[in-house]
Amino acid sequence: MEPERGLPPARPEHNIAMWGPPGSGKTTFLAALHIALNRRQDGWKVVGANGPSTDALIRLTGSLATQGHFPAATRGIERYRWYLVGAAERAKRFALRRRPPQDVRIGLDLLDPSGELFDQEHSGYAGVHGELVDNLVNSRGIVFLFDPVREFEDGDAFDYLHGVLSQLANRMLESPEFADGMLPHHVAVCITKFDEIRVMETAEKLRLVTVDPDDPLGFPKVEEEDARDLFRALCGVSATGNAELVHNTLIQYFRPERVRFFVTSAVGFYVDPRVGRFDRDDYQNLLPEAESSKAVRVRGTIHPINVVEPLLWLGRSLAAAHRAAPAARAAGTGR
Amino acid sequence: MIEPDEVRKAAAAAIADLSGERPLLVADLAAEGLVRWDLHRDAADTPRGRSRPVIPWDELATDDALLRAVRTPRPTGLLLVNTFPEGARGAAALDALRAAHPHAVAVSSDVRLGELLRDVIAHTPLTRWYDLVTLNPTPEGRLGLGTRQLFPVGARRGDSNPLAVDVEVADEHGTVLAVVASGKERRYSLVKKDAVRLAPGRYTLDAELRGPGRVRFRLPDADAAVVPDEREWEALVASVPDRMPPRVTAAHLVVAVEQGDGDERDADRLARAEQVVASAADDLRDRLRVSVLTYGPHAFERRAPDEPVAVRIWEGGAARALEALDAAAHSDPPPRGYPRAAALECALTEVARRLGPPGRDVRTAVLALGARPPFPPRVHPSEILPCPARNDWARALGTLRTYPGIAFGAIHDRPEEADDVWRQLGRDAPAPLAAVDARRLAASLGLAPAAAQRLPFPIGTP
Ligand SMILES: Nc1nc2c(ncn2[C@@H]2O[C@H](COP(=O)(O)OP(=O)(O)OP(=O)(O)O)[C@@H](O)[C@H]2O)c(=O)[nH]1
Ligand SMILES: [Mg+2]
Repeated sequence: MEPERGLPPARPEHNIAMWGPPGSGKTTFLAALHIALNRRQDGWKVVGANGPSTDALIRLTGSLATQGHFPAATRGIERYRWYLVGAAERAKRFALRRRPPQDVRIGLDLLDPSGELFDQEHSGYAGVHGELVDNLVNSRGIVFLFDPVREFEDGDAFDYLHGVLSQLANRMLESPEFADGMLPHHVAVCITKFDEIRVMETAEKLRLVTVDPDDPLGFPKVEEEDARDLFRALCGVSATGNAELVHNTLIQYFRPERVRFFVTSAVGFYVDPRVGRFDRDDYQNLLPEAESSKAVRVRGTIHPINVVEPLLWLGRSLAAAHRAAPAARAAGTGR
Repeated sequence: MIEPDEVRKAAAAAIADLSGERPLLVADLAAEGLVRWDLHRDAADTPRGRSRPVIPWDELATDDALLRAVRTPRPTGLLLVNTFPEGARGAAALDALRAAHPHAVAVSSDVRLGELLRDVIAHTPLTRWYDLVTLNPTPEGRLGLGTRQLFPVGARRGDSNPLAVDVEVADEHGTVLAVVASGKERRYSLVKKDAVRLAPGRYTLDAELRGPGRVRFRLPDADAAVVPDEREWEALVASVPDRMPPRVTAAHLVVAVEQGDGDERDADRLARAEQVVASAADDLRDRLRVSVLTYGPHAFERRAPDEPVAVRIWEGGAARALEALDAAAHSDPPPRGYPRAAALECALTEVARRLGPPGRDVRTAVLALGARPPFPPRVHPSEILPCPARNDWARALGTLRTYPGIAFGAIHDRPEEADDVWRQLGRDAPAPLAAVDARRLAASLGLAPAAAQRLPFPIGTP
């Protein structure tokens, strides 16, 4: 058997899957990526790798940024092939030194499944649900969205983690490649909707909120090393109490050094254009549409928080793991 | 044949002789038979008379029957009038009766006796003092019944006596104008009573004597009808409070009406506001000032103008306020805007800002009609967006509460679901939108005194 030489291999090292219950903000997160990069002004941008992916990027970005519309609930599984591209000058500077600009292009093969597919009820290996598990097997990066607002109300994050994760482990851990019983993925655990009162206030109560003096908007933020504490605290106030299990389950299956926590918001805090800065008294960025429906819209402009960071981290980690992998494999065979 | 004047003189003399102890019998010998009139003076010494059914001549064929027809149980004055002098039967009967009652006055003249008697009575001078019943406050504020003189003994039809009276708010039947008669012993008896609905204030009361027992009241400076009052005297007297209620001399009613819930709900609220204004105006008339504000939700749309509060009239008369409410009902519906709250905080802030220094004895009432919660001044657990002006309903309400003599009312769509601000607003006068007793609500707001404070009689100004 020569798997390396047959069909071009599936390239799991670039595949990043979004994971999270319905409405946890997976699609919005991706829709905010372009704006997030734009606001950073550090040269990174996102481009589509093919026609449909480029169209999707334009569509998602446009309706969120200009009309303030959230995406519709995803049906089935959406796939986007995007690249994160680093700034040219930077690349040049690197080039002038030693190496060609290798690491300035990060491939993102993004899977955005409907949250429904993670439902425990979809038992067994069938249809789109089976496809979802296949896709997770073939990816090495996971953006795991934890929606604290949904957790306050429904408390079902664990239900949406447990079933699919068991199936994933079942499929992968049989392989000798993963003999240590740990799944190979890098997981960016993203606490979403930081802009919502209940999330912000929990973070404030825990004294985890800081403000970066260099941030012209003066946005509150939770430092990376505190994000895990906030995550656990938010799990603690879940409606069912099951959220406690989420944290333990994650570190049980994934290597602890491959799990990172981020406190994120796709839309960010509201910034009054007349003030131009975060206002502790008025920061909600959602606007209800009508009394009857629960529909909301974005209120002001969008200032995504920690949307780029998890993807950059995953992209870089995956690339690094990929570079290291042949050596590891070689070492394995040589033994 | 005697002239009608003679009959009149004879009747006047007989009625002047009339007294409580000595009634008068007038026998009218008419064309078809004998009509008997019994006259007496009632407890108030007012001459009263009534006629009996006519006894046809056929039944009076014998002298015996004739005499029986004019028999009385006690000593009585007797006046015999032959009102059909051409007829033989009348003349014969007159002769027979005169023979039997030699002291009786007997006259013959072709007159309508009923009318003549009524006219004579009306021109009879008063035999008692006529007074108006009033309420007299003592210097300590206690209330007792008192009187103001209307007409002295000897006053005649056509005499008139204008007097100034102070009127407080009465019940829905109005203020009672009661006339009592008294003699030397100062024992009063009720002559008559009328009622008139008046806003509190001082009025000129024109009393004109139309005859004994008949006093006509007119109020030249009020457009109000004086009607007979049918109530029990005892109940009226019992309804007089022990003390003078605090004076309500003028009032300022501020109504804040939420809009933006669609035509029907919006119109309902405006209609309720109209009812309360109209009801308060009934009692207070031109001493009621009204302010009308309508308010809706804030607009958070980018670039949308945010003007949630419209002051439609400030301290205007009730009539103009009613027009303003009507105009609001016919104006374009406000934009729907934010669905979960309305700018009640801005409306209250605007009211607090506009209320001038309180006037003496002026009642200020704030009535809100709506359902939605206000916008909070800052990020709030309700997740309702903060008021863009950062107005704070609690602060505005606090300011308003310090206003002397202020009352709050709330007409809420569903009072059982009312939140904090609506419950505080409904402190004095809460009501559900579906069932508002406008009169009671106005009364609870102090715009019309509650039942215990109503004064049924005019105040006797010394
Ligand atoms: N406050 C806040 N709400 C958000 C944010 N992102 C998404 N939402 C809300 O979450 C809803 C669902 O977002 P989606 O991105 O459609 O969620 P999803 O995970 O893709 O949902 P499915 O496709 O149904 O699985 C949106 O309609 C918004 O109401 C955010 O950054 N902040
Ligand atoms: Mg989606």
